[in-house]
Amino acid sequence: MGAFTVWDSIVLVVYVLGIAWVGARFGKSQATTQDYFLGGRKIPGWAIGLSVMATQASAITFIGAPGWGFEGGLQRLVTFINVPLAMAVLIVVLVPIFHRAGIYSIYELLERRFGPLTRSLAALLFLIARGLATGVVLYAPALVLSVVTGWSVDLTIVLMAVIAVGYTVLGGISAVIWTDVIQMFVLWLGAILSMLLMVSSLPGGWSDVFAFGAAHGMFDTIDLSLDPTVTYSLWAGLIGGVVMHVAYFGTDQSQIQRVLTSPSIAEGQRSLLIGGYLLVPQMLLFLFIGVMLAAYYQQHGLTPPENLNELFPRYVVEAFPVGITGLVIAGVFAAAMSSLDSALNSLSAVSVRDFYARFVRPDADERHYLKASRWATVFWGLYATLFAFFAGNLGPVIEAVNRIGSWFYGALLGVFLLAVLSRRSNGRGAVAGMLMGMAAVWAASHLGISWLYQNAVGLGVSLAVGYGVSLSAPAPGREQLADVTLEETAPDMQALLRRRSAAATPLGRDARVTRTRCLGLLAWFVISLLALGGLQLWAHAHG
Amino acid sequence: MDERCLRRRIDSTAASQRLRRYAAARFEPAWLALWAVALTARQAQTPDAWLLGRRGLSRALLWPGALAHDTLDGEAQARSALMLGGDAVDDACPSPEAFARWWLWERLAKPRLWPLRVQPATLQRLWLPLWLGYHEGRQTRLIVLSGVSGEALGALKPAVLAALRAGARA
Repeated sequence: MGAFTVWDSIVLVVYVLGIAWVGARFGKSQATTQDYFLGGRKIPGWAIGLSVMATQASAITFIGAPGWGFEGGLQRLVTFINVPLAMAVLIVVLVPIFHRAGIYSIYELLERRFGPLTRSLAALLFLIARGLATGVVLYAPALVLSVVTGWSVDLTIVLMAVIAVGYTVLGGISAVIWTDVIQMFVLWLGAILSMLLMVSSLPGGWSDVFAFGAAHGMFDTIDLSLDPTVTYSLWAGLIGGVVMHVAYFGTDQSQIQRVLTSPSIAEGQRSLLIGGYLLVPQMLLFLFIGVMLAAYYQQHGLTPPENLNELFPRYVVEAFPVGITGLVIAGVFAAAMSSLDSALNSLSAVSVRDFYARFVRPDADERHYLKASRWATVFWGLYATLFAFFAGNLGPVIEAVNRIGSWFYGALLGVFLLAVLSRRSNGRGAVAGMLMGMAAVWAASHLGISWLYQNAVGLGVSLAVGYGVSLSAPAPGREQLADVTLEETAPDMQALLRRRSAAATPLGRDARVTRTRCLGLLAWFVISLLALGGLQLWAHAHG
Repeated sequence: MDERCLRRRIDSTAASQRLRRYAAARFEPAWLALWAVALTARQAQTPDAWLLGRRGLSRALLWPGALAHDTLDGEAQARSALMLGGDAVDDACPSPEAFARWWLWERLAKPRLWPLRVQPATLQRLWLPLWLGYHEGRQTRLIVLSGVSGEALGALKPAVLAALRAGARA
C-alpha cells in the first residue's frame, strides 16, 4: 500500500487493453447482428441505462464529487436532486417530438421550424459549449494519471488527448454497451471499497463519520432560503437545476444522440429512465465519500491537497491494496475514454452535418464526408486539449462542466420550447431570444445570484424575448409547423382522419394514457427529498 | 398481387393493447409501400442490414439482418387492410443518392458502421405492415404502429398522412 506499484501498472494496462479488446471483438461481431443496429434491443434495459450513465458522468463524478463532498458535505446534492423531474419532462415532452421528427441532429428541428440561421446558431453554441466541457472531461483522467505517475498534468493531458482522439478516429471502443457496464461496476466497486477501507481506519467506524458530518453541518442538504444569492438552496436546485438538466440532457447533441438513434420512442425513453433513478444515489455515494474523506483527514491530521479534484485519486493510490488500485484507476480511465469518445464523435458529427455539408461542400461524396468527420474529430481533440490546460482553475470538475453549460443551455432550451410549444413564434424571435437569453445569463452572473439559476434566467428571457419579438414578424406557415405540431391538424386531414376513424374498429373500452414511468420518477424525487430531510433532521438533533 | 412484404408479427389483440396505451379509440390494419436497399461491406455479400425509405421521409428505417419477407398474397390480412402508397411507384421511390445520403448520416454517429455501403442494385419495393390508431379528442390524432415490432413509428407519420391524402384524391 501507499504507492502505485508495478502490479498496479500491469493491472491498469491489462484492464485498458482488455476493455479495448472486448469493445473491438463485440463491436466487430455486433456490426452484423440485430443487436447493434437495434441499439441493443436484445440487451437488457438496465445495461443500456448504465451505459448511458457511463457516457454521462462516471469519470468526472468519481473525481469531482468527493471534492465537493469534502468541501461542502451533501449540500451540493441539490444540484442533482432534480434529475428525476428533468428526466420526466424529457420523457413526456421532448423525446416523442424529437423522435417523431426523424432527425439526426436536434438542431435540424430548429431549421425546419425557424430557418437555417437558428439551426446554425444553436449548433455553433453546442460546439463551443460541448468543446469546452470536453476539455474538462479530458482534464479529469489526466489529473488521475498525473497523481498516480507523478508526471505533469499538462503532459498527461496531451497524452490522454492523443489516446482519446485515436480511439474515436479508429472507431471508438465505447459503443459497446457491455464495456460501459463493466466500467460502471468497477467505479462503484472502487467507491464502496474506499468507504469500507476508510471506515475500518477510523477508531469509531461509521459512528465517527456520522458524528463528524453532523457536527460540521455536512448533512445539511435542504436549505429553504429564498435568497437567490445562496448557491445551493433547495429552490436553486429545483428551479435552476431542473432547467439545467432538461437543457443538458435534452438540447446537447452528445446526450440526446443516443435517444435519436434508438429504434423507437419507448426505447429512447427507457434509456433516460435509469439515469433518472440512479444519478441521485450515485452522486450521494460519491459526495458521502467526500464527507468520509473529511473525517478521515481530520482524524489522521492530514493536510488535503490544494486541488480537491486530486483528493480521491490520492486516497485510492495511498489506501487501496496492490492491484485493486490499478483496477480502479483503470476503471476511471476507461470510463473517461467512453465519455470522451462520445463527446468527440458528436462534435464531429454536428460539425460535418450542420456546417460542412451545408456551407462548405454540399455535394461531396460520402467518402469525403467521412474523411472530413475524422479531421473534425482531430480538430475538436485539439480544441478540448487547449481548454483542458485551464480546466484545473475552474474548481471541482463537475461544477466546471455544469457552469459551462449554464452559459448556453438555458437560452437554447428556450428556443426549443418555442419551437415545440408556440405556433406563433418565428425565426426572428428565436434568434433574438437565443442571443438575449445568453446576454441575460452573462448579466445574471455579475449579480451574485446562484449559478444554478443561470439556466432558468436564460430560459425565461429567451422565451419572453423570443415570443415578443416573434410578434413583430408574420407567423410561420403550416408547412413549417408540420414537424412539431404535425400536419394532421390541417382541416382536410382532420376530415379524412375522422372518416377513417369512424370506419375503423373500436378498441372496446376507454383508452388511457399510461404515465407510470414518469409517476415513478416523481415518487423517486419525493422519496429522495424526504430521505435527505430526515438525515438533516437527525444530524441537527445529534450535532 | 405478387409483391414482397414484411411479415406481420403483431396481431390485432396485441396491437389493440399497445394502441390503448397511446390513447387510441379505434384502429385498423394498413400496409405502407417502401423501398429497400441492402447494406453490405462488399458487393455480392449477404446483406448486413437493409435501409427502408420512401421519398418525403426525413430519415430511413434500418432493418437489421436478412429481410424476413413474404408475398402480399400470402398475407391473409392484406386483403382487408388499407394499402398506402402503392400506386405512385415512381413518385415515391427515393433515388440511389438519397439512400446513400440517408446512410451517410446514419453512420456518421456510429463509426463502426462506416465500412457498410448502400448497394443500389438491390433496390426493391416492400410493403411494411402497420397498425393505425385513431385518438378522438378535440382533434383526431393518428398513431402509427409497426406491425412487425409493435413500436410507434412517429417518423413514418408524414408518409402515412401523404399516402392517405393521395388515396382520398384518387
